[in-house]
Parts: sequence; C-alpha cells; structure tokens
Amino acid sequence: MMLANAISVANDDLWKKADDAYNNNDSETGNRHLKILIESDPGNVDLTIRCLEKIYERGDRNNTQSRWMRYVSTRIAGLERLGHISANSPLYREIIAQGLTQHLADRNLFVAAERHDDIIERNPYDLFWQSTRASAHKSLGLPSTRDHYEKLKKNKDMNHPDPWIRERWVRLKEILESDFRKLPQPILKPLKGSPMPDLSPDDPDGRWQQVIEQPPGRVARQVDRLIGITLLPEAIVPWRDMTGILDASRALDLHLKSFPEKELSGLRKIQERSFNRENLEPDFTNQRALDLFRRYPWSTSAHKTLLRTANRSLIAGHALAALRSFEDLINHADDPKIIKFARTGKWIALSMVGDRDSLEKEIKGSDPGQEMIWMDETLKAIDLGNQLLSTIPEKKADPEPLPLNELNPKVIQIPAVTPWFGGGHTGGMALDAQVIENNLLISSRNHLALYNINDTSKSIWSQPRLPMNDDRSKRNLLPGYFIPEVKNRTIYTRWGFMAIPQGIAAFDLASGKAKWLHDDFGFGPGQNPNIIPISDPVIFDGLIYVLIWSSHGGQTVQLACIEEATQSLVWMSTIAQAGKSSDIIGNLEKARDVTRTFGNKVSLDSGSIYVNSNAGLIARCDPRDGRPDWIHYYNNSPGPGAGALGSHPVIIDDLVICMTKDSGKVFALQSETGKVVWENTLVLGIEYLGKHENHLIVKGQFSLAAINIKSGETNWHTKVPERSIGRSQMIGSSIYLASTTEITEFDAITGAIKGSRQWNQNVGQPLSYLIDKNSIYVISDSPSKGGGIAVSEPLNPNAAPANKSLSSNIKRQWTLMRNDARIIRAPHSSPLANHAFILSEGLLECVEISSKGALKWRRFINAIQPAFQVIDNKLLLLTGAGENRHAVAFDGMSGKIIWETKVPAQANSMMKCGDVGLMHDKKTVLFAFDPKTGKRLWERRVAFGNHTIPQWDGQKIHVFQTSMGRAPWHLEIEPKSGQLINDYDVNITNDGQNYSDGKLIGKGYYEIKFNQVKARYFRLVMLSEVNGMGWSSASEILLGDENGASLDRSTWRAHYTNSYETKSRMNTELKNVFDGNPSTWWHTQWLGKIPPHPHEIQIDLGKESTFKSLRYLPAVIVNNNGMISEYELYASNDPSQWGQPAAKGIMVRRLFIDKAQFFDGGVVLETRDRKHGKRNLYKYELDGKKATQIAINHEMISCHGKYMLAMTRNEKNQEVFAIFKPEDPSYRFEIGTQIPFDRNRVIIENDILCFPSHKLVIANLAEKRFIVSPTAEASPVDQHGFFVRTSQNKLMKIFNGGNKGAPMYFVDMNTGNTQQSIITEQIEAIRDLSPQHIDPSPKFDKILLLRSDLGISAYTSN
Amino acid sequence: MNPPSTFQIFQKIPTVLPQTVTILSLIFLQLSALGAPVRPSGTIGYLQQLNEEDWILKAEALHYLSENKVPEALESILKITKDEKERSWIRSKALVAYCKIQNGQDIPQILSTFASSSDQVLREGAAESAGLIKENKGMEILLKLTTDKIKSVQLRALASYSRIMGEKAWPLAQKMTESITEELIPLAVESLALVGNKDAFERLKELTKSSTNKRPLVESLDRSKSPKAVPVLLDLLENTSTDDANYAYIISALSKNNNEILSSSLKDLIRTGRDSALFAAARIITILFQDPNLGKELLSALTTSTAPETLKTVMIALGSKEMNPDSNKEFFITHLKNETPEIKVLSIRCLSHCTEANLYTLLKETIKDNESRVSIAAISALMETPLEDAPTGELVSYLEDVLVSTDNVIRKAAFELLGHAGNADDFEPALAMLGEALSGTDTVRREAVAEALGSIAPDNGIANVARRQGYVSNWMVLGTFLNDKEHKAFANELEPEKGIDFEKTYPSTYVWALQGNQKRDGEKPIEREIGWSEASVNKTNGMLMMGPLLPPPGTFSIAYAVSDFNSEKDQDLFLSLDGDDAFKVWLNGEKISEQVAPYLHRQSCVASQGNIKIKLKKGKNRILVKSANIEHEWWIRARITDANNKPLELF
Repeated sequence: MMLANAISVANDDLWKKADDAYNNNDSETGNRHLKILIESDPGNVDLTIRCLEKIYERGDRNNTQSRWMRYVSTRIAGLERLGHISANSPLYREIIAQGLTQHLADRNLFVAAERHDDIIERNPYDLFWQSTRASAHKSLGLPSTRDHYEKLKKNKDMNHPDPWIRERWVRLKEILESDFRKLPQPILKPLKGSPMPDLSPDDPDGRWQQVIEQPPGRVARQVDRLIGITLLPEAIVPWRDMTGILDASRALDLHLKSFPEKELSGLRKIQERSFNRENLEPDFTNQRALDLFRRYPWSTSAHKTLLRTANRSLIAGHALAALRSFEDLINHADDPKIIKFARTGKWIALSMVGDRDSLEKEIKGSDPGQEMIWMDETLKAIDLGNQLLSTIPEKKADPEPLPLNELNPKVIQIPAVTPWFGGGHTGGMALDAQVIENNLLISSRNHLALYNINDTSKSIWSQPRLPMNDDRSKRNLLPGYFIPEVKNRTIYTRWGFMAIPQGIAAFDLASGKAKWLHDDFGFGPGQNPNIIPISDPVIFDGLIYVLIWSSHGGQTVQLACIEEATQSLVWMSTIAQAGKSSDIIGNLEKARDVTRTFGNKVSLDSGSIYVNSNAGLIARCDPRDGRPDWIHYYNNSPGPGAGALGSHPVIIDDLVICMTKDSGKVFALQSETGKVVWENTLVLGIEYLGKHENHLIVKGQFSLAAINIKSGETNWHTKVPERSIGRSQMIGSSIYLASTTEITEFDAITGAIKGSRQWNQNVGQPLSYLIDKNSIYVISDSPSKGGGIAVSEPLNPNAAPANKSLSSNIKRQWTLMRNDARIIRAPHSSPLANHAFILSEGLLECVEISSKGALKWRRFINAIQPAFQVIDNKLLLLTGAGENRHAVAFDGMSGKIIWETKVPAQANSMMKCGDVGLMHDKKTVLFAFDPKTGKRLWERRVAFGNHTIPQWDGQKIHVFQTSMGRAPWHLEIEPKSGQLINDYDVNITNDGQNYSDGKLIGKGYYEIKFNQVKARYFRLVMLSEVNGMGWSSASEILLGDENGASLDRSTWRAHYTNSYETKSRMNTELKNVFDGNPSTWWHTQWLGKIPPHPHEIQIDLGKESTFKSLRYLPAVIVNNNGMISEYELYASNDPSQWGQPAAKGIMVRRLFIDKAQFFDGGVVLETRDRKHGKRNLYKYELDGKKATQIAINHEMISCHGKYMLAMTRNEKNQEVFAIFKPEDPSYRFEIGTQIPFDRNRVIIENDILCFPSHKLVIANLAEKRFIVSPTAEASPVDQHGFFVRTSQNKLMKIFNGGNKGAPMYFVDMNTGNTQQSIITEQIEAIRDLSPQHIDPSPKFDKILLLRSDLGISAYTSN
Repeated sequence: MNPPSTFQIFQKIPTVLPQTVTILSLIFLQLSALGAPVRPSGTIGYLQQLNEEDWILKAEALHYLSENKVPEALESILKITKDEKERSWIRSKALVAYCKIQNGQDIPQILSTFASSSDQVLREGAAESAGLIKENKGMEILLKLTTDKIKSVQLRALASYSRIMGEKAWPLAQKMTESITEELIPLAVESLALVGNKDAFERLKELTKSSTNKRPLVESLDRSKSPKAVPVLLDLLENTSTDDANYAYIISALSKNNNEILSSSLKDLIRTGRDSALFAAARIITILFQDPNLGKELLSALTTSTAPETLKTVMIALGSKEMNPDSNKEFFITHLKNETPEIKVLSIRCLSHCTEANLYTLLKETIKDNESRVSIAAISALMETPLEDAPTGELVSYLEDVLVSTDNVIRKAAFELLGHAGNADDFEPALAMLGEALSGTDTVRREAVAEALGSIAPDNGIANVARRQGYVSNWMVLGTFLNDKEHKAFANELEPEKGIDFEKTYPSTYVWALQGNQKRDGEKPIEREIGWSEASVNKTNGMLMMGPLLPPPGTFSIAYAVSDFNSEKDQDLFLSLDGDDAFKVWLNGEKISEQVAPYLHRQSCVASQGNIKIKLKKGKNRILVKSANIEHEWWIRARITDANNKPLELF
C-alpha cells in the first residue's frame, strides 16, 4: 500500500538504483540503497515510509527473521510510536506484529511484554492488538493472560456485521472456545484467616469437611481424630490450583488458629486426656517427644515434654531445632509459663543462630518490662534482649566498592585441568572463587586450588580430580554451583572420584589434604551408587545439611543431616518420591539430571530448612527430622535460560524467593504455607545476584533486572552483555557483569551502566573473576605454566631432528596424552602447516610438528561444540547458536586472540576469495568478512535453496544456486562489496517437445506460446504441480502481444479463482499476479486443507486484447510450492463460455538438482526429471549459456580439478565407477565395479587417481591406465585403514593391529610399489586423523602425527 | 500520552476494559502520589537506544524519554544537542526532548544558541522548544523567530506561540498564514488549530482543502491536540479512501479525542446528510466509538436514495452489540426482504444482536432463501441464538428445507444447528427424515447426519444410529491385560484368544503409569481378576471407547471385544476396522486382520484397515477384536457393508 499523495522520489538517484537492483533480483543492494536514502534525510517521514514499504515488499519479505525484515519492523514500530503512522492500518499491523513476534522469538521477553502493552495503550479499540496482546501474554506465561482471554471471550461476536471484525473473531474462535485451564494460571488471591477455602484435602470419608464446616469448639472430638489422620503418610492437602501440597497437620493447624482461643479449649482437654494415656517413658528421645507433640499439639503435657527437648537441643547447640520447638510452643500453648519459657528460649536460639533482624523484631514487639527467666535469673525483657543482641555481631553493610578502574587486577592461572568434564557447556566453565582471609579458593567439579591473595602467581595447593572413563557420558550435565563452605579452616564440599560426586568431603584448608569422605547416608560406605548429593553442603550447629537425589526404587529427593564431628547420619527425610502422593503432578518423574545434578544449597532460616530441588519442586522442612512442612510444584514454563545456575531459596520477611535451574521464572512463596505470591516469567533467570533495597537483582539469559520483592514486578531491566563469562557479582549498589572482552559495572538502583573496563590484553578471555575489596581476581584462560607438560619445552628433548622424509621404517618420538582429543591441522599450503591444534576437554593446545615436539601455547576454550577453520595464519573458532553464533580468530603461532565477530547462525563452511573471507552454509547464507579484522563486509541471504555454493575464480565469486522457486541460478558477485555483477538463469531443461511447453526466458520467467487470440478474459487451469503436491501458485503473469511486448496490466482485474489462502499472514489474493511485484504471489489454500487440482484463475483484461504468449513467474517459496506443471489456457470474451483451450502442455518441466559441484571451468549438476527418476549429469560453464549433458544415468561422487568421479549401475544393479572430464565430452575411464572405498577420501592429484581407504586402486587418468588395478589379487593392504599422504606421491596406510603394533604399508602412487612394515610401538587404536572439511587426505612430510585413544603421537623415520 | 487523554480512551470502550482498569489506574495514581518513582522499566533500553546511529531509533528514544520525563536522560540528551557532528534534525529533536524533561522556567543556554544559529533546522528546534519553557519565558525568542528569514522557522515559532496564546494569537497567525506554500500547510494548520477561533477555523479548512499530502496534515492536527481539529479530521476522513493508509491514521488521531467532542462532531457530520459523510460516520462508529444516540441520527439521515454502499455501512454500524440494535430492530426486519442478498445477510447479522428478537420466528422464511449465503448466515445466526427460542420438537420441520438442501455447505450447517439446538424430542422426527442417509453410501453425508443425530439422541438412541450405519454396536468386552510400549503382549497369544467363555474370569495385571507415561523400573504390576461384561457403542460414529468400559487404568493395556450376530445366509461382505492404537481381528476363529499404528506420544495413533473381504455363514457369526493401547485415546470400531459400501444391519 502506497501513500496516496506521497511526495515524489522517483527522480532520486538512489531510489532508481534501488529499483534497478530489485529488478535485477539483487534485493540486498536495493535495500542498502534505500537505507542510505532514509539516513540521508532525517525527519523526512514520507520518504522514509516509502522506502521502508519498498524494502518490505521487495527485500526478502518471506524471510521474516532476516536482518532486513528486522530493520523494517523496528523502524515502522518507531515511526508508529513517534505518532507518524497508525498501528491500525493493515500493512503496519502486519509489519509491527512481525517485529513483536521477533522479540518473542529472540526471548527478549521484557521488551516483548512492554511493546505489546504499549501499543494497546495507544490503540485500545483495535481488536487486532487486543488479540495479539492476549496471545503474547500467553506465550510469555503472564498471569494476566486468562483475564485477557476471558474479556475477549465475553465480547466474542461471530456474527458481527463488519466483515473485518467478524473475521478476527472467527480467527479467535478456536482459541476462545478452547480449554482456558491450559492458559497460564492466575495466582490465588491472598486470604485472611483459614487457608482451607484455597485447599482441597484428600477427603474420602468426609472428615475434613466435617471439621471445616463447623467451629472447632463444636467438633473438638472430630478434630482430635483428624489430627491423627493427618499424620498418616499419604494424607495430602493440595492447593486448589495444584501448585503444591501443605503438610496435612499444618493445614489443619492453620485452620484452627484462625479461630478465637476459646474455640480450642475443648480440644485441649481431649488432647490432654489422650496424652496422659500414652505411657511416656522417662528417658524419652527428642523424636518421641516430637511425635507426641505432633499427635497432641494442643495438650499441655505434650508442650512440657517438647519444652524439655527444646532445651536439650539448645544445650546441645542445635539452635535451629530448638528454635522450631519454641515456635511450636508459642503457637500452641495456652499456659503462660510455658509461653514465657518458650519465648525466652526463642530469643536465645535466635541469638545462637545469629539472626539479628528477627531478634530485634522480637524485642521491639514485646513489652520491655516483661519478666523473662534466663539461667535461673529473672530479667527484664529489654535487658535480656540487649544482652543477647550484644553477642551477635552487627551486620556491616558492604562498603561501596572502588570504581572499576581503581581495582587492582590479579591474574590467576589455574592448572591445565578443565573445570568441568567435557569442557564446553552453556553454563560456561563455571568456576567459583571465594576469599577466605588471605587466601583465594578456586573451586569447580574437577578441581580445588588455593592461592595467596598477595601472590597469585602460583597455587599453594591444587587438588585436581583426574579424568575418569564416565566423564564422557556425563558431559551434557550442566555445571552448577560448586562452592564449598569453609569453616574453622576446613573445606566442606561435594566430592567423589567419578564424574558425578558421590558424597561429602572435608579438606584441610591449609594443606589441601582430605580429612574425610562421607558417602554412607545410612547405607554403609560406598554401598549405594544411586545416590547423588545434588546440593552443596551447608554446615550449621555442627550439622551438615545436604540434598540427595536417589534414583533407586523411584526418583526421590531426600534431605540428609549429618553430624560433622562423627560424620554419622542424624536423619534422612524423603521430601518427595515419584509416583507417590508427594509428587502429585509428576514433576520428579519429568525432572532432568542435566539440570538438577549440580544444584543449589539449602537455606536455613528461622527454624526451617528451605529446599530448591531444581527438579520441579521447592519445599520447606522441619529441622528436627526433615519432615516437609509444604511442597510447591512449579511448571517449567518458560523453559530455563541456557546455563541457568538457579539459586538457593532466598527468604525475605515472609516470602521465599525461588529461582530454579529447570524453569526460567522467578517466583515468591509464602514462607508459612508455600502458597504462590507472585511470579515473574519474563526474566529467564540464570543467576540471583542479591537484594538491593526493595529489589532482587537477577541476571537472566538476556537481561539483567531488578524485581520488586513484594510484587514481582520489574523495576528496571537492561540487556546482558553478549558472551558473558563467569559468575556475576553484586557489591553494595554495584553489579558486575563480565563478557569476554570487558567487565561492566551497573547501578543496582537504576540499572544504568556506571563504568566498564577492558580486560588486560595478556589475560586473553578470562574464564571467571571475583572482586574482593580493592582487588579484581581474574582467572585467565591460559593455564598455569607449571605442572605436567610445560609450554615451550620439548616433548622429547632427546629426539634427533627429522631430516628424512617418512619411509616405511618409523619410530615414535613423543606422545601427548590427552583425553578425547581432536586434531585440527591447517592445509598444506598454510603458514600454520607445521603445527597441529589439539582440543581436548576444553583445552586447546598448539603443538609444533617436529621430532622434539613442543607445546607452543595452550588455553581454555569456553565454547560449546566448537568448529574450526583455518584462514591465513589464523585459527578460527566458530561457536554459539542462533543470534549468538560468533567466530574468534586466534593467531595460530601465539594463541593470541586477534578478533572476535558475530557471524550468521548458519555459517559453517569457509573459503577465501582474495582478501575476503567468505563463510557460507551451502544453503542460504553468504557472509563476507575482512580476515584481518573480522569485520563484516556484506551478507547475502538467499531464501532456502538446495544448494548455494560459492567458488572463487581469482576475480569474482561465482555462486551457483539451485532449486529455489525458480531455475538454477548463477550469480557473479564482487567480493569486496557483495554487489551483483551478473546473474544468469541456467537452462538445463530439455526443450519442450510441445510447441506450447514453457521455456525459460530470463529473470525466472517461463513463456508459453500459442496461436494469436483476441479476447477480454483468459483462464489458466493448473492440472498439476512440479512436486506432485495439491497446490498452485504464481507470482506474476504477463501476456505478450503480436510483437512480443507485454500487455499493459493496469486495466486488469481478478475475475475468479477457485481458491486462495485467507488465513495466512500473507496476502495471497489473485490480484498479486499482476501487481508488478515479484515478491507477492497468489497461492491456493494450504492451511486447514489443501484442495486438490485442478485449480484455475480467471483474469479480466479490462478490454478485448490480442495476445500470443503468456509469461509466468513462479512464486519464490520453499520447495517451489505451487510451481505449475501441466496447464491449460483458455481465452474468451464471455467468462461463462470458454470453449477449447488456446494452449495446453507443461509450463515447467522441472529437473530436480540433487548435487552441484565446481570443477575447473564450471559446475557439474546431477539432475532428475522426477522424484525417483534417473540421474543425469550436466555441466554449466559459468557463461550464462545452456547447461550441456555429460552423462546419463550417472550419479556424481566428487569433482577434483578437471576430473569428476561418477557412479552408475550395470544391468546387475552393481555400482560401476567411472571418471569423466567435464570439459572433454569424449573422455570416460571406467574404474570398475563394486569397489569399496570412502567416497569422501578419494585422491586425485594431477593425473593420478587413488582409492586409498579400502581396496587399493591407483590409476593414471591421462593414460587411462591402472597402476594398481581394482581386479588385482587381494593383498593385505586392501583392508580398511587409515592413510596419510607423504611427499613424492607416496601414501602411508596404517591399520589397527592391537598388541602387536600397527601394520603399515608404504605405497608409491607412481608405480604401485608397496613396502610393508609394522609400527611396533603403536598399540592403542588409531582414530581419525583430522576434520575432513579442512583436510580430507592429511599430508605429512617428515613427521607423522597419529591420534589414538591415548593422545597424539609423533613418528619420524630414522 | 498525558493522563487525561488516557482516561478518555478508557471511557470510550467500557465493555472492553471494565472497572478493574479504572481501579488499577487509581491504584497507579495513588502509588505515584506516594512518591514511588514511576519510571517505566524499559527506560534503560531507550537510554541505550539514544546511541543508535539511525535517526528513527534515536528519535524514538528521545520521544520515549521525554514523554516519560526521565531525568537520567538529560545529560546524554544535552550531549546530543551539543554534538556538532550530529545531524541538525536530531540535535533539534534532542533540544525539544531536553526542554520537555526539564520542564523548567529557565531558558537553557543551548536553546539560545540554537535560536541564533545559522542552521535553519536548529532554529526550528529552538522555535519548538521555546514554547515548552514555563511561564511564557520563551516568548521573546518565539516572537523573534516568527520574523525569521525562513518561513518554516517562522511557522514553527507561530505554532509554539499559538499553543501558549490560544485565541490571542489570531492577529499574528492571521498575518502569517495568509499565503502559504503547499509543503508548509501542515505547520500553518497546527497553529490555526491551536488558535482555535472561528476565523482560524475557517482558514484552517481552506488550507486543508488545498493540501494534497494528508499524512503530515493529520499529524499536525493530532499534535495540536485541539478539539477544534475533530471536524477537520472528520472532513479529511470523509475524503479519504478506506484503502489509503491515512484512513487508519485519521481514525487513530480521532481516537485521542474525548467522547463528547467526538459525538457532537459526528452528529454534525451526519446531519449534513451527505452520502460520504454518513459513510465516514458509520465507519467511525463501527471501528472506534459506539454511541447509541448517534444510531438514531444515522437512521434518520438515511434516505431511500442512499447508495447501497452507504446503506451497508450504516447497517454495520447500527448492528453492533454496543449500539443497542434492539432500537433499530424494525429497520433490520424490513431489510430482511431487501432484494440484495448482501443486505439480507447483514440484516440477519444485525438481528442476531437484538436481544428482544426471536430469530427463529424472524428467520423462518429467510432460512430458505434461494441464495445460499443468506441461508448460511441465517443458520449461523441461529447457532448463536438462545436455545430456549428454538421450536422444541418442531425443529426438524423448521429446518426441513435446509436439512435436505442440495448444497453441501448449507446441509452441513443445518446438521450442526440441529445438533446444537435440538434435543431428545427432535430425535425421532430427525431420524425419520434423515435416517436414510445413515444407510446411504455418501460417507460425508452419513457422518454429518450421524453427528447431528448423536448430539440430540437420548442415551438409548445412540447405538441405534450407529447400527443403522452398519457399525457393530453391541459387544462383550474383557480387559485389561498388561501391555507395554512395544506392544509385546499384543503380539503374544493370551488366554481369551484360545477360547471364549463369557462366564470365565482371568487373572491379569496392571501398572499405574503417571505423567509422562513411563513405567517405572522395578515396579511390580498389581494383580486383579477380570471378567466379561456387556457394552454398546457410545458414540454415533460407531466408536467403542474402551477406557470407560474397563477397570482403570487404560494405559499399557490390552482388551478383547466380541460380537455375535446372525446372517440370514452365506454371503460375501466387507468389514472396515479402525482403532487406537492397534488391533487384531478374528472372524469365526480365523484371523483376518492385524494393524499397529506407530506410537506417538500423547497423540492419537489410529490403525485402520478398510474393506476386508469377509465370508459370513448362515446363522451365528462371531467377531473377536483384540485391542491394544499404550496411552492417550483408546477405542475400536468395526463396520460391515456390502460391495457398494451400503451398510448391513446385522446386529
């Protein structure tokens, strides 16, 4: 849609250039011109709108995720917000909505939520935005969703007289009639008094109902009985919304407490009587007293008993347990004396726990003159309070840290042991660091090390866990916290010798020596291998609390309490077990070890233990025996952010703030009941950084945010720096987030950036960091020099230099032992050819290929599934997915990082075109960059093709593209600018046998010819589609007059079509075929159902016209959807009488192109004329002319210079291999039948062909002569083996020989002579020698590198 | 957007945003009164966006930060104004934003600098900004700029001046807007709208007419926020095609005005009686602003000579729920007899919103209309009508014509309506009328009829409908036996396959599978005793739903179903079977089919085999089905037909 009276820009030079580029199929260039035009005249809204609309229509519109569509949608949204355009016009609705969807897809959730709310604020009456917002809130998981839908449902009007509004309602119909229970749950509103209305107890015999319906005074006896029932193991009381369960007796307790005291007196009497019937033994245990109290919580004698055990706990130093007992007494007793004792006890317990805040609150809330008894002394409350307070050190506020630039940097190099098995995780290397007095402790799963903070150059001690066999199978477990607790110069941590820790260990801080390991947990030492400690241990009161996952006999979360002094189990409590009532919604069943295994510690607060399982539930437990008070089940929507670390539960006032590793939300529960108070689903939390004033500071996957503690609303949010590393930190009001290049300080109050500091160049890319006082400790990605193999020192100092070329007699010179290693070698011509790069377990090392061998450099690589490329003297590492895909260039000789750049998600292959680096994926993307700086030069996306393969001819880039809604296409591109120099349709069709069959006439158009007709209407009937699918489509249709000129289409009107898609976001009406815009198209229905052929369109030319040809431009859609095959064309002046067809035949006789490959001088294409048809080979010589046939019924295997290896089948259906020379049609050399060989590893050098991998075959292709014939007698060299090329046309082939060493054959490819020997030292199995894409046939001259399970070994000939 | 206008919009759409919003906004106001900083959480993003190169993004950020008066932004914005490398337009916008946020009485130094700059764009910025200085302290600068050598600067200053002075600005405005080149009209219009007296209004209308580019004009009128602009906007709307992007833009601009002004301006517009005016007013009423009082105006302005397009548009406006369509009921009823089908359809839709109309009565004839779309619209309207209006027991005769219509779409809609509005009383008449379709060979028709009958059938009627379609409807069932994900028990021969004895009981086992339907390792199956029971199909599509018939759980289960029936003679017939997830079938002890659907987690996995040739013997025949399920739905169904796909009632 164009502005009716828009100012004219038709004269503008850039506008014209852009038009030319679009008409030349070069939308990239067109878009760039228009962007410059927009920028050239800021504030010129009309011009801008025209340009943006043009880019939207002509530039890659179908590729909604493309850079340019993002460009358009953000700008259109910007103009809308500025008030220059309206969000209610159909086109801008479409564009803006697309942009908003993009925010959702990018998981830019805060922005997505805000922008949706914002646009509806300005357009509240617009049903489109109302429904768009509702569905956005739904996908954001916001609790407001249901309200929006309820509102829409209420207003639903399927009979609205306005067609547009009615259509919107029809679109919404399905969702408005669907089950709203599946929408995000609204949160239960807070209740006063009894929680029972929000609870739905499992009540088969109506006992609960009986009790709930009447005041307890009237049903005291029933209450007493119900108390007994609540203690049965399977008694559960879930919340009405199934978000959790409340311990049954607790639920009843809360209910009873909502009544006035007098209602309970009857119950007290009954319980007292019953208690007295229990024979309480004089030496009762604490557990016995607790059990009795739980059965008779309203009995005074039970209170007295509990008071005794509480005092016992206090004396034993278990203040946490005592605190809970005192609380219980205060809440249940009516005897003022007991209450007085309990209150005093509570104060003391609080002082022992060190909970200053609660104690202060207690003191403030009590009468200062009240008498309290302490150590047989009667004291005034105020005095006792002050006395106790004085024992708790006052919490000092964090001193405001120094500005970043004033921090003293201290670099730490850890030993060359990867912190986590596998090396690369979404959670990064995840190293933790803490300062203890003058020491810095670095911790991770694999490693503990201690440094002196005044001298970090060397560790005091280092305690690595050696790599084990099971590491590999556990490498997908996400790292989590591994922060040991340090008390009394002892380190308490999870530990064990397998990939997964097996128990709790204590190490001596000073020496690093192990003190003890507890892996018993009541089963006997080492007896239960199915137990995993999933939390860091917490030590308190001499007791160690740890969360246990047990997978034996059903997935179970347990809480264990171990006495530190004796390492004996005090108690172990099951919180929830899969399949039992404690896991009502089956969360444990669904829990994934990937996220739960390295979980967060438990939190101890005010007499309770709070547990985050990272396995679908949060719980609060009683510290006396671990019995759960409540369990909350959360759903895992939104999904967790990559590398989520979760958080231990954070208790603030009466809220428990939770952030788990297995869901992306942050939520708050009521600490007493576990009921949900709020949820924030937008943050996708990864790390909890702390609390600042009334806000929680959370780092999410994409944002850093401050969340209001009371409401869960977002106070501010800002983007997280890309490629962030290490733990984030908050000190005072400063928040620190680091990326690979710099550390940034944010203001916790506003979220604004306070400052940033680049990492020191020689640190490289740090793995992690810690700010403490005036220092910033940076853990370098280069490991410490000492320990194991030192950098620069020869691996075999005694080796003689290798002067001889490799021969059949070789000797091992050195071995570099590495677990799970990969070798990356540069091509032979590269300046890096003398070095090999070895990646193992996240450690990248550069090894000099020499007889002495030496590690040139090494560094940790914090990358997930990295891919490598070599360009010039640089090693390029590609990693990350989607938006975060990036490339890092290392100097191959020094390991220094030269640059780092974002690259398109798909980029994986690479080539060099003169001074330009080109990455591509062989399908859609071409990304050109400057290899010196990594800067993007240009990027070109071609909507999905089967093949988009580039080739460099020394001057320009040739891109050959196939199967994309149009004929194969050959582009010539200028490498520096990306501009199109030329483009050709490559004609490979057989010329139609029928006069009226379609012929390719350029720019993607097909033309059919027929005898001249004169008519006002024409009708095109489609009988089939090229892929045999049910649909038809067309982008443009032209008619040619007597002279071949196209008829003017301004008078054309769509007369009829049997089908078009009404439900799509795209407009697919018939008028698109004569709108002059090749990016819009007509398409038959595809949503809901696909009506079958025939399809037809009828067009009214507006007046009687003469024409003799029709030109058809297929729509550019994936798989050529709708491309017309058989057709009939009719012409008439009366659209109800069509008569005989004017033409019929095949519009597009499509050849499927399965493979295309460059040879010297052109492209070879492998084609089929139908889905399962025979394959024929064509060559195209990059000249814009027709492709010519090379061979019929052959498949291409590969091209090598001027030769091509192809395969056909003989009459026995056996594979026959033959060599062709595309430039010489007469050349054919048959290699033979059924030869086994690795098709990716064929050697054709000059005129010599060699199949080295299995059966050895060598031939001279120039002379069409076998040197080693495929029919030659079988020899031992013909087994499947590994081979390398050596100098002078020699080939080494090696087999795994087991204990006897590796048999080796040394083959002369010129003569076929073979020498046999054995490498006696090579007894470990040899593995693949290099990545195929860089080095398909590895070549060595004087030194041979072999990779085995042991590591990398070097051999020379002596 | 300033608070009062937000509030007006809330008022405008009472049904969409009920009271809660008002309450929320009150809470919001209270919070802000309490001094909590009301700072939108997206602020930082926009602060960062200030650093964008692109002028649109930069301007968007300036706009956001100034609208929300974010003081933290002042420093960066001031930096932009001072940045001489920056484009003048951006600097000028930055100055405006700066003054808006600062909201002060003092003239910032940079404003004075801009005002005397040699760059006209900067002077324009100064002219706009000077109007934002409090207590008219910018007046001096403004007056000076009204005499600037460049006309656009003058007019910009005039706009600011008029914003402050209102009607008092007329003498100056009169002089300055006398002769204006086309590109400057929008600026002049803004001033005139702000002046707002009668003379200014007259001139405004004149200028508007001579301008060809509407977008900047609308923008100026919108920016003036002057109620006087409403009639001008309406005038523009009247002269803008609905295909034009400006159409929506004008509506957006109108939406920011309050109801009273909009209402009275619309009234004036309608009273002109012009066709195009009625059309425009009706569209606004449909899209933006529903006021039943305007409905009366519209209706009385509508004369018989009105163009059909206008009539349609007016009907659309009058027919929406919010316009009290009941008051125009007679009008709609009259048009039920209009000769244009489109108008008839519209009348139906409008009437469907009349709460006081009984549609069944009104549409009795219309439903039989020759035009299929009229018929279909009538049926869909009846679908939304309260069920109590439907003629109980006589629905079938009411729908007689459409139920047997030759048009598939009409028929299908009619069946649906029958199913929706009918009840058990309608079942017998419906069966009598439509029963022949059940035994017909048109599958689509048969299934539609069966579905319609199914939804009104009394409990005992369902099996009958199934039977008449040839479905095996009476079964004996036995289950469950333990199965697993690989259907192992399905492959093995179990006890009932060896011989059937309805009196016998069988030991069996089952497991409870929880969410995720994973059997837990090491879990012991639970044992129980099971026996045969009678069952009949409970859906008119012939499906025997196994779950409800057998003891739970239905996951990982095997069950058997047996049906005995008589054949009058030896005959060759065809059996079609389907089921979820897998079945084996024996006829008279001989296995005739086995199908297993590939397993899909939490989805239907339907196995089917059609037209299996079977030989029935005279007398009793027995069909045995072994059905297996992993999870999700579980059902079987069997149908016997002759060679022409005609069902046989054997059961």
